[in-house]
Amino acid sequence: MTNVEFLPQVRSAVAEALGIEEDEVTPQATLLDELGAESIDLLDMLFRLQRSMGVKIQAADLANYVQGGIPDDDFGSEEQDVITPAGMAQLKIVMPQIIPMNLDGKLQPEKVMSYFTVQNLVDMVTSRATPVGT
Amino acid sequence: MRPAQRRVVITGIGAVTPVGNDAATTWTSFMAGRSGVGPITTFDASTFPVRIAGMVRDFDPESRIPRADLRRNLSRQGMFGVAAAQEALADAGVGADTYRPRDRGVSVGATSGRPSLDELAEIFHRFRDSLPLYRQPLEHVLERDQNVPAAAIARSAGCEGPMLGISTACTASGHAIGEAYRRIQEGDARLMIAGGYDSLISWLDILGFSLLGALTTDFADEPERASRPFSADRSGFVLGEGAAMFVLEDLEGARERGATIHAELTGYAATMNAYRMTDPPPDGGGVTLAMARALEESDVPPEDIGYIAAHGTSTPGNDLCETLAIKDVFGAHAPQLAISSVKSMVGHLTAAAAGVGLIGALGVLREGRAPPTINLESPGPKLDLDYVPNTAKSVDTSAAMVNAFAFGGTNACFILEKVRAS
Amino acid sequence: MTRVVISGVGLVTPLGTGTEVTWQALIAGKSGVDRLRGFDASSLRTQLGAEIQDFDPTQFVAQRRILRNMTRNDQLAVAGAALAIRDAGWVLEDGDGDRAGLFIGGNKEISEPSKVLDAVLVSRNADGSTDMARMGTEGAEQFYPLFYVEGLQAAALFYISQAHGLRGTNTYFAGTGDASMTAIGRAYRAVRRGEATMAVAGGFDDATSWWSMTKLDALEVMTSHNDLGAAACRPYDRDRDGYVLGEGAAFVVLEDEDTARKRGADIYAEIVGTHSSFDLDGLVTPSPDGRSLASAIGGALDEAGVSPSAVDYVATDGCATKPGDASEAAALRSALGPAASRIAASSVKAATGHLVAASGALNVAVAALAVRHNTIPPTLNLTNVDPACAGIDWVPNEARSQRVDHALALARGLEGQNVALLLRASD
Repeated sequence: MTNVEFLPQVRSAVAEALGIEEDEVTPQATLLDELGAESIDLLDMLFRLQRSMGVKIQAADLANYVQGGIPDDDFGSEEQDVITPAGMAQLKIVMPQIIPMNLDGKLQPEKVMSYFTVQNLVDMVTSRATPVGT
Repeated sequence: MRPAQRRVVITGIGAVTPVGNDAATTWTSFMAGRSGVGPITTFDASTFPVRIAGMVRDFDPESRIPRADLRRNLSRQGMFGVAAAQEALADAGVGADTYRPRDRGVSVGATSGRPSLDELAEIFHRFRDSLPLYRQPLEHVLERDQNVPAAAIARSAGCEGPMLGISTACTASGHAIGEAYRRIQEGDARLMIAGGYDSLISWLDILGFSLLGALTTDFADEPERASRPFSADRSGFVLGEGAAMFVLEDLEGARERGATIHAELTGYAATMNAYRMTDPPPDGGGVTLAMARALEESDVPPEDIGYIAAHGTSTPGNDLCETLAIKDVFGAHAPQLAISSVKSMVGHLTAAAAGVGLIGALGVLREGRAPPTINLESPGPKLDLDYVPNTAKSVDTSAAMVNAFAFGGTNACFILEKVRAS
Repeated sequence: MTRVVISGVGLVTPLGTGTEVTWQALIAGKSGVDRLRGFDASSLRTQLGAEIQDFDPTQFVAQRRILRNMTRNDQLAVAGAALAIRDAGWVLEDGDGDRAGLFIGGNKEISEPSKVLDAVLVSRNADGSTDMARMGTEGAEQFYPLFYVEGLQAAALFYISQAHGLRGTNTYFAGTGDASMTAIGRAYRAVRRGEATMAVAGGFDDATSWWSMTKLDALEVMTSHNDLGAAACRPYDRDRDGYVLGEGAAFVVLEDEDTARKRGADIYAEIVGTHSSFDLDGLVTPSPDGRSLASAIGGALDEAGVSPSAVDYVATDGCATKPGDASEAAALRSALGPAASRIAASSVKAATGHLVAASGALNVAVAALAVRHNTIPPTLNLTNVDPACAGIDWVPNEARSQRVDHALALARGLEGQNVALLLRASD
């Protein structure tokens, strides 16, 4: 199963949770910034995905997925309030759209999720729905 | 021109909390940094995502509320509230002839009670399957009615004046105390019994808060470590239950009858973030405004405030937002403040939370010692104020602030001062 | 001292969505009471109610996302507040919001039941018992995760503040008839003391929902005369046997008189006094002597420095229960003294149904409209005045044109609360 197959379901969940039209939910749209999702909207989306696809994702899983298991202290530097080089490397894997944005040494930890797109959510759902190794 | 204002003082304190079934025991526990968080005992939570909360233990309604007529139709939280009110009235030395009945009132923050799972399932079953509808019995409706305990409090003290029931979730007792303060200031009452009671340790509330991701699931096996305001590894709040009730009265009347005055209320403000349902405003929004307004009303210079009873819920968002707002309001004085969250010990008493914070603040003014924020080994990023970590400390101050914020974006803040001689 | 005026009224009632349409229907003697249609009420003792037909929340909430988690009663609240603000012609400038207050009275208890019904029933066994362990696992999986924010009692504070940028003083009073009049009284004081320069205040209730109906049906405070339809609710009549519930919202906009005049607002009336009292023996059934209500009326008149004989009209609680109406009549006779028989008094509950938590605010609105139009809406279905309610001019069945300079609004709560608020024509 490829991630393209999950796009319609993710689109529908996002559109319903945000009360917008499905065609506004483009793969490139960022959930928080462009589509205006609040934290409770994310919960609603994930609940809808669980009902429609049986994939259980909790809100906290989103950040964990993005961070890829890197401990907080290694992911963001507290003194400089930016994502570390190791953190940036991880982000470029799960959120490749940020590569051309030249965010190295500039991205604040609290801003990371504002770059999270519909496509990133599709990828995450795909990784959860597909058993490892198949 | 404004009408003449009466000055308002607190003359009675009563409490039922997870760390003590009266105000004195609660204070002693605060000083010892004792946690009251443990396994949930109000229902079988063994399969629920959260199984711990700040629980009231060994509470005996009959000894605390000897009058059987006052116990009628009382919920668990109602029992706490009526008991705490009796204690506050006794502490204030209020008798049958303290002011006219029409000059006495009640103002409480509370939450509507929840139906039992059995009853709700029966109600829903009949509705869904088009069976004759379940007519809810009067005694069940009254037991869920958050104003029934308030009415019992009024009956216990013959209060025929204002009767205010407030339900703004975690801000509720802050609003209730503020509203009582206004009623006395403006002459609608001379004495108000005010505060909050709550027990959201029900199957429905645990589920509701859990599904929102608001409750921590960490430290489930070490419950006393679970509530971690301002800590780097905080991950949500721990619920608590109980009540905190106070007697507020006008200064002149309190002096005339020779009452012991705990403190004077000199400022109050309520604001709204008008931002998002559950997310705190990133710029401090209404939280900053509430603190600034309360200070403005009190006329206390910010640098005279020595202690803040923080809302400090132990959620990532709240503790950061509150810290930034304190820095914004207090500027260079912020690092000098002793700030603590007693939620680290009792959990989040929701509608009673501001009342519990007030018990801490009154203790600071009375005894010169601030309750600690326990479980604070390592503060989170950007949390660099003095949260009185782990052990109580001496704080010499004549003024304190109490904060309360809630889902839905309402905020309340009030200022207390040692009563001045003149 | 700052004078506080009502510059906007927003009504959503069974008589119509809008202030003018509701007022015209009241004056015409129309009633919104009918057989309940929103759900099958045939198993209930009372099968009548005053429902709002064709209420369209999308007129008041632009974003579907916001609407998604609003219960019907929150939608009613948002509509009522929006109509009041629109009526006042108030446009918030940047920064004004910090001094804009919001006080609401409500009786909301739960989230929309249909969204959690199946999840709750997951825990139900065939024999009617429930399995808490299953609730915590399978039930939890199926629970709509936002039901808890949807069920927030004070959610209307959020929706209204967010829609209009109100960031100032506020609270939410939980109660029945008293709650929304307490809210307006508090807003009046907030403006008077300068705590707010303007305030929105009122109440809302979806009292005809199946949930509310099944809560009140067993109290036997509602009429059982289902066959009488719109004639079943008979305030002050010998044959009355209880009220009919109605759904709706009533809000007002308050501001200080100078601000209102400067911006050319169309002022309804000035608020000049309010008082509240508590009947210690009044849980569900008020004390027969009406002493507590009389005390509230007296307090409101005292604050305004107005004598009873100056009152032209009273918008009464008149909910058509035997003890309620009799005690209210006793209160009016004792508080107004010899003037009682000359003062017009009427209850709109036979027309709108008992809007419970919105009823106090509705009475303030009715009093304000009576002052503006110099017209008094009638008490419908009043054929034979009960001797226990004698001595008062209840304006039976037909509206009356007469000068109204001072109008009093009354509200009473389930646990014994009594509230009075006095309006004066603004000169």
